[in-house]
Amino acid sequence: MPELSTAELLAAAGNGDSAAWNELVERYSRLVWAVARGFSLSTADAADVSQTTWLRLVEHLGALREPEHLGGWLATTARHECLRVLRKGGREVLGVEADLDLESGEPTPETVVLHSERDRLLWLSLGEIPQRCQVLLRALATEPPPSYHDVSLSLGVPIGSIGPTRARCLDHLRKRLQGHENAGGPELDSPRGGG
Amino acid sequence: MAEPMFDPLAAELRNVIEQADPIPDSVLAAAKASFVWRTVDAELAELVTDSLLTASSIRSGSAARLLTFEGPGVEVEVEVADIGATRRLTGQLVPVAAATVVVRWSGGSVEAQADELGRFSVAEVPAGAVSLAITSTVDGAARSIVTSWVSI
Repeated sequence: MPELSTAELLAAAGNGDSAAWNELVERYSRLVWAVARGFSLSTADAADVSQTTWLRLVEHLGALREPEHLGGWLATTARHECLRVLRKGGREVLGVEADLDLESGEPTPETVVLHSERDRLLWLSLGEIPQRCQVLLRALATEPPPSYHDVSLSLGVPIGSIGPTRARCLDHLRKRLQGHENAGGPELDSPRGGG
Repeated sequence: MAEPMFDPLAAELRNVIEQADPIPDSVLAAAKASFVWRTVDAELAELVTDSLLTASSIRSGSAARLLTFEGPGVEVEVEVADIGATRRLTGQLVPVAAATVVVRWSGGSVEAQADELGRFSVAEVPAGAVSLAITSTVDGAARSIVTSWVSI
């Protein structure tokens, strides 16, 4: 299949073309996953959010107002589903559109195979920066790279603030990483880091 | 244009995320498989309220979750109770009418009947994404509604 635009794929999927649907999933599933994991959801909860998000798209095929901005629609849907999951789990959320500047305090617990110590510390640090930063940096790190418009929708922040926010988030990350690296010493063997 | 200012840390981070937290194959496969739920001949009733998001933390113990779906000229109210790992759905159709209600989830479905007052109840629904497909007869014509998928 030649490279089709997202809008073309959506139209084809709306007409029952499952190959077009699969291509959409290939294009955007990593973004949806990044949003869910950016909210520090467990693998099971993130899988649930992903599934609900894609099922929502199935029912809205052909009804999207801006089909070319599918990534933003998916990320927004995923973000709302994440907030539901957090609510259900009793984790306090400051309101759907609120600034999620809470420390997650929960580095992802999954067993992770990272070869270098620096990679391990970087991964640890990612789980320690503000939640909003985790979502943003993860979303921006997905392949294929999402547009700023889509990222803007996925976080509910103005498009103009993404660049500066990204820079601040990377600074947060850098500081955490340096802190861990400077700390050195035996406590680095602890898989959970400092609480 | 997509990458405004090159920061080596961002590249490093991308690499680490790819190694440490790739999207699981099962998640990718489930997303592709969700296409089978495409319906062409039913009207959509969208989720318009969810007590989980509106009722601000009055969760003293086991208050049930209330979902409201609205479609063209119909409303479906569903109360979701957690019974261990499964859910019990108790619903009300407005306007009231007898109907066939099929609760669908990714691994299966179960059928129930709404009585002439539009009430229905379905137990043992697995947690996860579900949607209701509701078929009723209005003025001699069959009418099909599907609700938005929602994770319960």
